[in-house]
Amino acid sequence: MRVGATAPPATLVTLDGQRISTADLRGHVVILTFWATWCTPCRDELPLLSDYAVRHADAGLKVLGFSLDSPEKLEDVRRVGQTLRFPVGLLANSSAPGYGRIWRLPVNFTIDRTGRLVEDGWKEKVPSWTPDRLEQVVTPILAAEL
Amino acid sequence: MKTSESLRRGVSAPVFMAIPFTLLAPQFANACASCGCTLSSDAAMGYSADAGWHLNVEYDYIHQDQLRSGTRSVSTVPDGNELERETLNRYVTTGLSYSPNSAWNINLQVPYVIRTHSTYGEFDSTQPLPELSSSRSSSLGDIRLIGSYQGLLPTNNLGVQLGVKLPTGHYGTAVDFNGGPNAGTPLDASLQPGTGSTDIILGAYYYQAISQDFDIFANAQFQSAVKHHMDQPGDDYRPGNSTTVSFGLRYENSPRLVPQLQVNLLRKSRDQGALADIQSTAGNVAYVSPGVTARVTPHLHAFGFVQVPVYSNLYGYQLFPRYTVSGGLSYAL
Repeated sequence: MRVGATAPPATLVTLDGQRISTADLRGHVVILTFWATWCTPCRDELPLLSDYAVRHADAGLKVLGFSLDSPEKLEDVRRVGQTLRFPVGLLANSSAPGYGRIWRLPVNFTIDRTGRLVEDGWKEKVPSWTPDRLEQVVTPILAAEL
Repeated sequence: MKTSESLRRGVSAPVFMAIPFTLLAPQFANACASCGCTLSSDAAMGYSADAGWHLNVEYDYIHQDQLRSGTRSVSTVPDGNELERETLNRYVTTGLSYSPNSAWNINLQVPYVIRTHSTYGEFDSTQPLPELSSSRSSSLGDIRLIGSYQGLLPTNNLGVQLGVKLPTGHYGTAVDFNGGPNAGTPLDASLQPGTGSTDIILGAYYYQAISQDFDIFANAQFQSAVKHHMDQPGDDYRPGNSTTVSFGLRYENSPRLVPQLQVNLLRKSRDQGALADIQSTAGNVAYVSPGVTARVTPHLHAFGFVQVPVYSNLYGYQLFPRYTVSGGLSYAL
Protein backbone atom coordinates (compact mmCIF):
# COMPACT_ATOMS: atom_id res chain seq x y z
CA MET A 1 0.00 0.00 0.00
CA ARG A 2 1.47 3.30 -1.09
CA VAL A 3 0.11 6.81 -1.41
CA GLY A 4 -0.30 7.61 -5.10
CA ALA A 5 -0.72 3.96 -6.09
CA THR A 6 -3.99 2.16 -6.69
CA ALA A 7 -5.71 1.67 -3.36
CA PRO A 8 -6.16 -1.92 -2.18
CA PRO A 9 -9.70 -3.15 -2.74
CA ALA A 10 -12.13 -3.20 0.17
CA THR A 11 -15.68 -4.41 0.49
CA LEU A 12 -18.04 -3.37 3.25
CA VAL A 13 -20.91 -5.68 4.15
CA THR A 14 -23.35 -3.32 5.82
CA LEU A 15 -25.48 -4.19 8.82
CA ASP A 16 -28.42 -4.80 6.50
CA GLY A 17 -26.39 -7.10 4.27
CA GLN A 18 -25.60 -4.75 1.40
CA ARG A 19 -22.16 -5.19 -0.21
CA ILE A 20 -20.34 -1.99 -1.16
CA SER A 21 -17.00 -2.41 -2.89
CA THR A 22 -14.46 0.32 -3.51
CA ALA A 23 -14.13 -1.06 -7.03
CA ASP A 24 -17.73 0.02 -7.66
CA LEU A 25 -17.10 3.52 -6.37
CA ARG A 26 -14.76 4.78 -9.09
CA GLY A 27 -15.56 8.43 -9.74
CA HIS A 28 -16.22 9.01 -6.05
CA VAL A 29 -13.91 10.12 -3.30
CA VAL A 30 -13.98 7.35 -0.70
CA ILE A 31 -13.03 7.47 2.96
CA LEU A 32 -12.57 4.14 4.70
CA THR A 33 -12.90 4.61 8.42
CA PHE A 34 -12.15 1.88 10.95
CA TRP A 35 -13.75 2.25 14.37
CA ALA A 36 -15.27 0.43 17.36
CA THR A 37 -17.96 1.19 19.90
CA TRP A 38 -15.40 1.07 22.73
CA CYS A 39 -12.99 3.46 21.01
CA THR A 40 -13.29 6.81 22.73
CA PRO A 41 -11.64 8.94 20.01
CA CYS A 42 -14.01 7.33 17.50
CA ARG A 43 -16.99 8.77 19.36
CA ASP A 44 -15.73 12.26 18.59
CA GLU A 45 -14.67 11.48 15.07
CA LEU A 46 -17.69 9.58 13.74
CA PRO A 47 -20.29 12.38 14.10
CA LEU A 48 -17.82 14.78 12.55
CA LEU A 49 -17.28 12.46 9.63
CA SER A 50 -21.01 11.88 9.32
CA ASP A 51 -21.74 15.61 9.08
CA TYR A 52 -18.97 16.06 6.55
CA ALA A 53 -20.29 13.16 4.48
CA VAL A 54 -23.75 14.71 4.34
CA ARG A 55 -22.42 18.12 3.36
CA HIS A 56 -20.28 16.70 0.57
CA ALA A 57 -22.46 13.89 -0.71
CA ASP A 58 -23.36 15.87 -3.81
CA ALA A 59 -19.69 16.30 -4.58
CA GLY A 60 -19.32 12.54 -4.71
CA LEU A 61 -18.04 11.67 -1.24
CA LYS A 62 -18.64 8.17 0.07
CA VAL A 63 -17.69 7.06 3.56
CA LEU A 64 -17.56 3.37 4.51
CA GLY A 65 -17.38 2.51 8.21
CA PHE A 66 -15.74 -0.76 9.25
CA SER A 67 -16.42 -1.66 12.88
CA LEU A 68 -13.94 -3.87 14.69
CA ASP A 69 -16.53 -4.90 17.24
CA SER A 70 -17.22 -8.59 17.65
CA PRO A 71 -20.47 -9.98 16.22
CA GLU A 72 -21.93 -10.27 19.71
CA LYS A 73 -21.76 -6.46 19.95
CA LEU A 74 -23.88 -6.11 16.84
CA GLU A 75 -26.69 -4.28 18.63
CA ASP A 76 -24.25 -1.71 20.00
CA VAL A 77 -22.82 -1.25 16.53
CA ARG A 78 -26.33 -0.88 15.13
CA ARG A 79 -27.15 1.80 17.72
CA VAL A 80 -24.09 3.82 16.76
CA GLY A 81 -24.70 3.18 13.08
CA GLN A 82 -28.20 4.62 13.32
CA THR A 83 -26.72 7.96 14.34
CA LEU A 84 -24.44 8.07 11.30
CA ARG A 85 -25.24 9.12 7.76
CA PHE A 86 -22.91 6.67 6.09
CA PRO A 87 -23.03 2.88 5.88
CA VAL A 88 -21.33 0.78 8.53
CA GLY A 89 -20.68 -2.91 8.97
CA LEU A 90 -18.52 -5.33 10.88
CA LEU A 91 -14.99 -5.79 9.61
CA ALA A 92 -15.39 -9.46 10.57
CA ASN A 93 -18.00 -9.79 7.81
CA SER A 94 -16.27 -7.44 5.38
CA SER A 95 -12.97 -7.46 3.57
CA ALA A 96 -10.07 -5.02 3.58
CA PRO A 97 -6.95 -7.19 3.68
CA GLY A 98 -4.70 -4.79 1.80
CA TYR A 99 -4.85 -2.21 4.57
CA GLY A 100 -2.86 -4.35 6.95
CA ARG A 101 -3.63 -5.44 10.44
CA ILE A 102 -5.91 -2.88 12.07
CA TRP A 103 -3.88 -2.60 15.22
CA ARG A 104 -5.07 0.77 16.50
CA LEU A 105 -8.19 2.87 16.20
CA PRO A 106 -9.36 5.03 14.65
CA VAL A 107 -7.58 4.78 11.35
CA ASN A 108 -8.72 6.23 8.03
CA PHE A 109 -7.76 5.90 4.39
CA THR A 110 -8.81 8.23 1.57
CA ILE A 111 -9.15 7.17 -2.07
CA ASP A 112 -9.53 9.68 -4.91
CA ARG A 113 -11.89 9.49 -7.85
CA THR A 114 -9.40 7.50 -9.92
CA GLY A 115 -9.01 4.84 -7.25
CA ARG A 116 -5.62 5.99 -6.01
CA LEU A 117 -4.78 6.11 -2.34
CA VAL A 118 -4.25 9.74 -1.33
CA GLU A 119 -4.15 9.46 2.44
CA ASP A 120 -2.68 6.59 4.47
CA GLY A 121 -3.92 6.62 8.06
CA TRP A 122 -0.99 4.54 9.27
CA LYS A 123 1.31 7.42 8.41
CA GLU A 124 -0.67 10.01 10.41
CA LYS A 125 0.62 10.88 13.85
CA VAL A 126 -2.85 11.99 14.96
CA PRO A 127 -5.08 9.82 12.84
CA SER A 128 -8.50 11.13 13.98
CA TRP A 129 -10.27 13.42 11.59
CA THR A 130 -10.74 17.02 12.67
CA PRO A 131 -12.69 19.68 10.78
CA ASP A 132 -9.43 21.30 9.74
CA ARG A 133 -7.90 18.06 8.52
CA LEU A 134 -11.00 17.19 6.52
CA GLU A 135 -10.88 20.61 4.88
CA GLN A 136 -7.19 20.35 4.18
CA VAL A 137 -7.09 16.76 2.97
CA VAL A 138 -10.46 15.77 1.55
CA THR A 139 -12.08 18.99 0.35
CA PRO A 140 -9.38 19.67 -2.28
CA ILE A 141 -9.72 16.13 -3.57
CA LEU A 142 -13.46 16.57 -3.86
CA ALA A 143 -12.89 19.75 -5.81
CA ALA A 144 -10.76 17.95 -8.36
CA GLU A 145 -12.47 16.57 -11.43
CA LEU A 146 -11.97 13.01 -12.63
CA MET B 1 -4.75 -0.42 25.14
CA LYS B 2 -3.77 3.09 26.03
CA THR B 3 -4.88 4.65 29.27
CA SER B 4 -8.22 6.33 29.45
CA GLU B 5 -6.37 9.63 29.74
CA SER B 6 -4.69 9.16 26.40
CA LEU B 7 -7.98 8.10 24.91
CA ARG B 8 -9.61 11.29 26.15
CA ARG B 9 -6.88 13.27 24.47
CA GLY B 10 -7.88 11.69 21.19
CA VAL B 11 -4.81 9.54 20.78
CA SER B 12 -5.64 6.43 18.83
CA ALA B 13 -6.28 3.26 20.74
CA PRO B 14 -4.28 0.13 19.97
CA VAL B 15 -6.53 -2.83 19.53
CA PHE B 16 -5.90 -6.55 19.82
CA MET B 17 -3.94 -9.34 18.25
CA ALA B 18 -6.11 -10.59 15.44
CA ILE B 19 -5.17 -14.21 15.96
CA PRO B 20 -7.93 -16.62 15.24
CA PHE B 21 -7.92 -18.94 18.20
CA THR B 22 -6.60 -20.01 21.51
CA LEU B 23 -4.88 -22.89 23.19
CA LEU B 24 -4.30 -22.90 26.89
CA ALA B 25 -0.99 -23.96 28.25
CA PRO B 26 -0.06 -27.36 29.60
CA GLN B 27 2.78 -25.87 31.67
CA PHE B 28 3.78 -29.11 33.34
CA ALA B 29 5.85 -28.54 36.38
CA ASN B 30 4.92 -31.44 38.54
CA ALA B 31 6.64 -34.41 37.06
CA CYS B 32 10.27 -33.45 36.88
CA ALA B 33 11.17 -31.16 39.71
CA SER B 34 12.22 -27.77 38.42
CA CYS B 35 12.54 -28.67 34.78
CA GLY B 36 8.94 -28.85 33.60
CA CYS B 37 7.62 -27.53 30.37
CA THR B 38 7.01 -23.86 30.89
CA LEU B 39 6.25 -22.84 27.34
CA SER B 40 3.18 -20.64 27.11
CA SER B 41 1.12 -22.37 24.45
CA ASP B 42 -1.56 -19.74 24.96
CA ALA B 43 0.75 -17.12 23.63
CA ALA B 44 2.24 -19.50 21.08
CA MET B 45 -1.10 -19.91 19.39
CA GLY B 46 -2.34 -16.42 20.10
CA TYR B 47 -4.96 -15.31 22.53
CA SER B 48 -8.34 -14.79 21.01
CA ALA B 49 -11.74 -13.31 21.60
CA ASP B 50 -13.37 -15.56 19.03
CA ALA B 51 -16.28 -17.71 20.14
CA GLY B 52 -16.51 -21.41 19.40
CA TRP B 53 -14.85 -24.77 19.98
CA HIS B 54 -11.20 -25.66 19.48
CA LEU B 55 -9.52 -29.03 19.58
CA ASN B 56 -5.81 -29.01 20.34
CA VAL B 57 -3.02 -31.54 20.46
CA GLU B 58 0.41 -30.70 21.86
CA TYR B 59 3.59 -32.73 22.10
CA ASP B 60 6.36 -31.83 24.55
CA TYR B 61 9.78 -33.45 24.59
CA ILE B 62 11.93 -32.91 27.68
CA HIS B 63 15.12 -34.91 27.93
CA GLN B 64 16.80 -34.38 31.29
CA ASP B 65 20.30 -35.69 30.89
CA GLN B 66 22.36 -33.00 32.57
CA LEU B 67 22.99 -33.19 36.30
CA ARG B 68 22.95 -29.74 37.87
CA SER B 69 23.16 -28.20 41.31
CA GLY B 70 22.77 -24.54 42.09
CA THR B 71 23.67 -22.62 38.97
CA ARG B 72 26.16 -25.09 37.50
CA SER B 73 26.37 -28.53 36.00
CA VAL B 74 28.02 -31.26 38.05
CA SER B 75 29.41 -34.66 37.19
CA THR B 76 28.63 -36.41 40.43
CA VAL B 77 26.92 -36.03 43.80
CA PRO B 78 28.20 -36.24 47.38
CA ASP B 79 28.14 -39.65 49.00
CA GLY B 80 24.73 -40.59 50.27
CA ASN B 81 22.83 -38.69 47.56
CA GLU B 82 21.01 -40.33 44.70
CA LEU B 83 22.95 -40.23 41.44
CA GLU B 84 20.40 -40.07 38.64
CA ARG B 85 21.36 -40.62 35.03
CA GLU B 86 18.50 -39.36 32.88
CA THR B 87 14.79 -38.83 32.56
CA LEU B 88 13.03 -38.57 29.24
CA ASN B 89 9.57 -37.02 29.40
CA ARG B 90 7.18 -36.95 26.49
CA TYR B 91 3.76 -35.45 26.96
CA VAL B 92 0.91 -35.70 24.49
CA THR B 93 -1.80 -33.35 25.63
CA THR B 94 -5.22 -33.25 24.06
CA GLY B 95 -7.18 -30.10 24.75
CA LEU B 96 -10.73 -29.05 24.13
CA SER B 97 -11.72 -25.45 24.65
CA TYR B 98 -15.01 -23.65 24.31
CA SER B 99 -15.68 -19.94 24.21
CA PRO B 100 -19.38 -19.11 24.37
CA ASN B 101 -18.54 -15.48 23.69
CA SER B 102 -15.57 -13.14 23.56
CA ALA B 103 -15.28 -12.91 27.36
CA TRP B 104 -15.36 -16.50 28.60
CA ASN B 105 -13.42 -19.64 27.83
CA ILE B 106 -13.29 -23.07 29.40
CA ASN B 107 -10.43 -25.39 28.57
CA LEU B 108 -9.94 -29.07 29.31
CA GLN B 109 -6.42 -30.55 29.02
CA VAL B 110 -5.87 -34.28 29.10
CA PRO B 111 -2.19 -35.25 29.17
CA TYR B 112 -0.76 -38.62 28.33
CA VAL B 113 2.66 -39.07 29.95
CA ILE B 114 5.39 -41.26 28.50
CA ARG B 115 8.43 -41.34 30.77
CA THR B 116 11.63 -43.30 31.05
CA HIS B 117 14.00 -42.83 33.94
CA SER B 118 17.28 -44.33 35.04
CA THR B 119 19.31 -43.95 38.21
CA TYR B 120 22.38 -45.43 39.86
CA GLY B 121 20.74 -45.10 43.25
CA GLU B 122 22.61 -43.91 46.30
CA PHE B 123 26.14 -42.84 45.43
CA ASP B 124 29.15 -44.16 47.33
CA SER B 125 32.51 -42.94 46.04
CA THR B 126 34.30 -45.85 47.68
CA GLN B 127 32.39 -48.36 45.61
CA PRO B 128 32.12 -48.95 41.84
CA LEU B 129 29.02 -47.46 40.24
CA PRO B 130 26.10 -49.81 40.77
CA GLU B 131 24.05 -51.17 37.91
CA LEU B 132 21.42 -48.78 36.54
CA SER B 133 17.85 -49.12 37.66
CA SER B 134 15.32 -48.05 35.07
CA SER B 135 11.64 -47.49 34.61
CA ARG B 136 9.33 -46.89 31.72
CA SER B 137 5.75 -45.78 32.10
CA SER B 138 3.08 -44.43 29.85
CA SER B 139 -0.34 -43.53 31.10
CA LEU B 140 -2.87 -40.80 31.65
CA GLY B 141 -1.54 -37.84 33.60
CA ASP B 142 -3.34 -35.23 35.66
CA ILE B 143 -6.21 -33.52 33.88
CA ARG B 144 -6.54 -29.76 34.09
CA LEU B 145 -9.68 -27.68 33.72
CA ILE B 146 -9.20 -23.94 33.41
CA GLY B 147 -11.76 -21.18 33.04
CA SER B 148 -10.73 -17.81 31.66
CA TYR B 149 -12.50 -14.46 31.78
CA GLN B 150 -11.26 -11.69 29.51
CA GLY B 151 -14.15 -9.27 29.69
CA LEU B 152 -12.34 -6.82 31.96
CA LEU B 153 -11.52 -4.52 29.04
CA PRO B 154 -13.65 -3.87 25.97
CA THR B 155 -10.72 -5.01 23.87
CA ASN B 156 -10.74 -8.41 25.63
CA ASN B 157 -6.97 -8.42 25.92
CA LEU B 158 -6.70 -8.75 29.69
CA GLY B 159 -7.75 -12.05 31.17
CA VAL B 160 -7.83 -13.89 34.46
CA GLN B 161 -7.85 -17.64 34.95
CA LEU B 162 -9.11 -20.01 37.60
CA GLY B 163 -8.58 -23.70 37.25
CA VAL B 164 -8.09 -27.02 38.87
CA LYS B 165 -5.69 -29.90 38.31
CA LEU B 166 -7.24 -33.23 39.20
CA PRO B 167 -5.46 -36.35 40.52
CA THR B 168 -6.33 -38.49 37.52
CA GLY B 169 -2.85 -39.89 36.86
CA HIS B 170 -1.17 -42.75 38.70
CA TYR B 171 0.57 -41.39 41.77
CA GLY B 172 2.43 -42.27 44.91
CA THR B 173 3.87 -45.74 44.51
CA ALA B 174 1.80 -46.87 41.53
CA VAL B 175 4.64 -47.17 39.01
CA ASP B 176 7.65 -49.34 39.86
CA PHE B 177 11.15 -49.58 38.51
CA ASN B 178 11.10 -52.37 35.96
CA GLY B 179 14.81 -52.94 35.40
CA GLY B 180 18.02 -53.15 37.42
CA PRO B 181 18.56 -53.74 41.12
CA ASN B 182 15.55 -51.59 42.10
CA ALA B 183 13.12 -53.48 39.85
CA GLY B 184 9.81 -53.96 41.61
CA THR B 185 10.29 -51.04 43.98
CA PRO B 186 8.26 -47.85 43.54
CA LEU B 187 9.50 -44.99 41.42
CA ASP B 188 9.96 -41.60 43.12
CA ALA B 189 6.67 -39.84 43.77
CA SER B 190 7.74 -36.88 41.63
CA LEU B 191 8.31 -39.20 38.66
CA GLN B 192 4.90 -40.83 38.76
CA PRO B 193 2.51 -39.81 35.96
CA GLY B 194 0.38 -37.89 38.46
CA THR B 195 0.88 -36.14 41.78
CA GLY B 196 -2.16 -37.44 43.62
CA SER B 197 -3.08 -33.90 44.45
CA THR B 198 -5.88 -31.55 43.59
CA ASP B 199 -4.32 -28.23 42.70
CA ILE B 200 -5.80 -24.82 42.30
CA ILE B 201 -4.56 -22.78 39.37
CA LEU B 202 -4.66 -18.99 39.28
CA GLY B 203 -3.53 -17.03 36.27
CA ALA B 204 -3.65 -13.79 34.36
CA TYR B 205 -2.61 -12.67 30.90
CA TYR B 206 -2.35 -9.55 28.83
CA TYR B 207 -1.57 -8.99 25.19
CA GLN B 208 -1.33 -5.94 23.04
CA ALA B 209 -0.51 -4.87 19.52
CA ILE B 210 2.29 -2.34 19.68
CA SER B 211 2.76 -1.72 15.97
CA GLN B 212 1.55 -2.92 12.60
CA ASP B 213 3.81 -5.95 12.88
CA PHE B 214 4.46 -6.64 16.54
CA ASP B 215 2.47 -7.80 19.56
CA ILE B 216 3.64 -8.21 23.09
CA PHE B 217 2.19 -10.53 25.69
CA ALA B 218 2.71 -11.48 29.29
CA ASN B 219 1.10 -14.11 31.46
CA ALA B 220 1.53 -15.66 34.86
CA GLN B 221 0.16 -18.79 36.46
CA PHE B 222 0.34 -20.07 40.01
CA GLN B 223 -0.41 -23.65 40.95
CA SER B 224 -0.74 -25.02 44.46
CA ALA B 225 -1.96 -28.33 45.85
CA VAL B 226 -4.98 -27.79 48.09
CA LYS B 227 -5.69 -31.46 48.73
CA HIS B 228 -3.55 -34.54 48.38
CA HIS B 229 -4.51 -38.19 48.51
CA MET B 230 -1.29 -39.23 50.20
CA ASP B 231 -1.71 -37.48 53.48
CA GLN B 232 -0.91 -40.17 56.04
CA PRO B 233 2.16 -39.66 58.23
CA GLY B 234 5.02 -41.60 56.73
CA ASP B 235 3.12 -42.04 53.49
CA ASP B 236 2.46 -38.51 52.38
CA TYR B 237 3.39 -36.47 49.36
CA ARG B 238 2.49 -32.97 48.35
CA PRO B 239 3.99 -31.37 45.22
CA GLY B 240 5.58 -27.97 45.70
CA ASN B 241 3.89 -24.82 44.50
CA SER B 242 4.92 -23.54 41.12
CA THR B 243 4.76 -20.11 39.53
CA THR B 244 5.35 -19.54 35.85
CA VAL B 245 5.73 -16.17 34.20
CA SER B 246 6.08 -15.75 30.46
CA PHE B 247 6.44 -12.70 28.27
CA GLY B 248 7.41 -12.18 24.70
CA LEU B 249 7.05 -10.69 21.29
CA ARG B 250 5.15 -11.91 18.23
CA TYR B 251 5.91 -10.80 14.69
CA GLU B 252 2.57 -10.43 12.94
CA ASN B 253 3.63 -9.30 9.50
CA SER B 254 1.83 -12.27 7.98
CA PRO B 255 -0.98 -14.23 9.62
CA ARG B 256 0.28 -17.31 7.78
CA LEU B 257 3.56 -17.44 9.67
CA VAL B 258 4.07 -15.78 13.03
CA PRO B 259 7.57 -16.03 14.50
CA GLN B 260 7.85 -15.22 18.16
CA LEU B 261 10.21 -15.19 21.05
CA GLN B 262 9.18 -16.07 24.58
CA VAL B 263 10.94 -15.80 27.89
CA ASN B 264 9.64 -18.36 30.39
CA LEU B 265 10.38 -18.16 34.09
CA LEU B 266 9.59 -20.91 36.56
CA ARG B 267 9.81 -20.87 40.31
CA LYS B 268 9.17 -24.21 41.94
CA SER B 269 9.12 -24.76 45.68
CA ARG B 270 10.07 -28.00 47.41
CA ASP B 271 7.86 -31.06 47.35
CA GLN B 272 6.78 -32.07 50.84
CA GLY B 273 6.12 -35.31 52.65
CA ALA B 274 7.78 -38.58 53.51
CA LEU B 275 7.67 -39.73 49.87
CA ALA B 276 9.07 -36.47 48.53
CA ASP B 277 12.62 -35.73 47.57
CA ILE B 278 12.49 -32.57 49.62
CA GLN B 279 16.09 -31.63 48.97
CA SER B 280 16.10 -31.81 45.18
CA THR B 281 12.76 -30.57 43.90
CA ALA B 282 12.94 -26.79 44.10
CA GLY B 283 14.54 -24.20 41.91
CA ASN B 284 14.31 -21.16 39.71
CA VAL B 285 14.67 -21.47 35.95
CA ALA B 286 14.61 -19.13 32.93
CA TYR B 287 14.19 -20.24 29.35
CA VAL B 288 14.40 -18.37 26.08
CA SER B 289 12.02 -19.93 23.61
CA PRO B 290 12.02 -19.08 19.92
CA GLY B 291 9.25 -20.54 17.82
CA VAL B 292 6.79 -20.11 15.05
CA THR B 293 3.06 -20.47 14.55
CA ALA B 294 1.74 -21.30 11.08
CA ARG B 295 -1.71 -21.20 9.55
CA VAL B 296 -2.05 -24.51 7.75
CA THR B 297 -5.63 -23.94 6.69
CA PRO B 298 -8.13 -21.29 7.83
CA HIS B 299 -9.24 -23.73 10.58
CA LEU B 300 -5.96 -25.44 11.38
CA HIS B 301 -2.89 -23.87 12.96
CA ALA B 302 0.39 -25.42 14.03
CA PHE B 303 3.23 -24.28 16.22
CA GLY B 304 6.74 -25.38 17.05
CA PHE B 305 9.09 -24.11 19.74
CA VAL B 306 12.47 -24.85 21.21
CA GLN B 307 13.16 -23.88 24.81
CA VAL B 308 16.72 -23.17 25.75
CA PRO B 309 17.52 -22.77 29.44
CA VAL B 310 19.54 -19.63 30.03
CA TYR B 311 19.54 -19.70 33.82
CA SER B 312 18.87 -22.27 36.47
CA ASN B 313 19.37 -22.28 40.19
CA LEU B 314 18.41 -25.71 41.44
CA TYR B 315 18.28 -26.95 44.99
CA GLY B 316 20.03 -30.23 45.63
CA TYR B 317 21.00 -32.30 42.61
CA GLN B 318 18.58 -32.43 39.72
CA LEU B 319 18.50 -33.72 36.19
CA PHE B 320 17.92 -30.86 33.83
CA PRO B 321 17.30 -30.59 30.07
CA ARG B 322 19.72 -28.87 27.70
CA TYR B 323 16.70 -27.91 25.60
CA THR B 324 13.07 -28.84 25.22
CA VAL B 325 10.90 -29.13 22.11
CA SER B 326 7.19 -28.44 21.86
CA GLY B 327 4.84 -28.68 18.92
CA GLY B 328 1.12 -28.50 18.53
CA LEU B 329 -1.92 -28.34 16.34
CA SER B 330 -5.15 -26.50 16.94
CA TYR B 331 -8.33 -27.00 14.95
CA ALA B 332 -11.29 -24.66 15.07
CA LEU B 333 -14.39 -26.85 15.03
